[in-house]
Amino acid sequence: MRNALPAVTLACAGLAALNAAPAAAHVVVGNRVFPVTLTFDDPGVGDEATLPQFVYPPAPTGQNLYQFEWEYDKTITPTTAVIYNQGWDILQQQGMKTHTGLENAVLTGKWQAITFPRSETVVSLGVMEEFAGSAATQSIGGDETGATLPTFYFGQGLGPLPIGLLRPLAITGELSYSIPNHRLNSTGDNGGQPFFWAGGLSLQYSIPYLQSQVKNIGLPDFFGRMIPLVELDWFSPAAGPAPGLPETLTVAPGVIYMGDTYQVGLEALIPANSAAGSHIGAILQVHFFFDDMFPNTLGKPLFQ
Amino acid sequence: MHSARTVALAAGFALLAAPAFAHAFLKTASPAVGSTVSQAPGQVMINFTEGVEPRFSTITVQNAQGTPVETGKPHLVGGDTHLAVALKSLPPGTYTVVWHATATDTHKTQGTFHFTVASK
Repeated sequence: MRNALPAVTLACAGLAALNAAPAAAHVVVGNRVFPVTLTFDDPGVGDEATLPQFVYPPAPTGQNLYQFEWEYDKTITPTTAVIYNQGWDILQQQGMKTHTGLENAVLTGKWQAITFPRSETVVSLGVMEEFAGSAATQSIGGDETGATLPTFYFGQGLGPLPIGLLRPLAITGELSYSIPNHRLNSTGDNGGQPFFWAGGLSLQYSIPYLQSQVKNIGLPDFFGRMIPLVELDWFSPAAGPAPGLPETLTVAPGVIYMGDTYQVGLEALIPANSAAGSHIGAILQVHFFFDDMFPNTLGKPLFQ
Repeated sequence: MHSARTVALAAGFALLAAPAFAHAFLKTASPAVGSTVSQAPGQVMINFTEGVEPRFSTITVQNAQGTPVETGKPHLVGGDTHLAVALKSLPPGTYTVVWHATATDTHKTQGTFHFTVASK
């Protein structure tokens, strides 16, 4: 094996890497505000930061992984951004020494290519670059070599449809194809990575949209800022050998509270197949909107 | 010398203590969003979550045929978070309010809602 961890741990790490995918910007498209989803990227760009994000992912029996993660999003122009993601993990395994280390750093270049305010539609294209990890990174299940991931993002609000109280619904998604810098061999011991697909899908119901666009049902301000949602995360090897890296599916129901200059999200991480883990995990994210906090400095594009 | 932890905490508090500017979203409206009123309102007033610039903000109100029924330009009422526009005498029917707001930090937002004036 490429490190001391069993193959199933590496599968867990693959899921963890998925969970570490950039969470990027909340985006305003016409009447719709798409919040920052927790387990995968959302469809726009912005000046924002996640600090912190705590993840307790589902893991195989006998293992516990704790992730403390962060992110910074910087717009270059109003429709392009560069995003940095990383984290620091603690991996506990029954009968073994606890490992700690930085996650693989990920840089993303992203272009918000299509924005249709009237139809509440947004589409972005991006390229994620995962960088090779140190020995400490590998000890917590990180990758020894990097990868490049062309990525497609979309968001679609259902507000324009004549569906009454269902108009606050929205769907967002992401699909990445990972091209390894060094391809994994059939015995899984050369430090490489497989080609793989990684995807995310969210279904969200915006109470702020309900209250401000459809019908004010008189909820107190606190509950009027909630967006209940469910996210799906999927990972699958795409081509060639991928020993110890089976297909995984995770369901993440939860809620996001939208503040004026920040949001706080909490979701359960429920493995939907046995390869995705043996217990329920959780994710908590605090995310700040720099475009609202510092509109004249950190919060605006470098080039208008 | 400050420890790294102290510096990190100070940076965190500085972040939290930063002045808040934000997008101006509809907080409440009169008539209320999606409501049915028994008496025709004389104006539509929107209470925003942030201050707005009235010169760069609009409220239009249309009847079911798409004919504008507001009179004059929107104006602030009280503070800079309440924007109102006067209406003509409205017969019973459903009306559509379309608003565009420019917050005092220049962020732009928009929204649409309906209200109904009930038949007597």
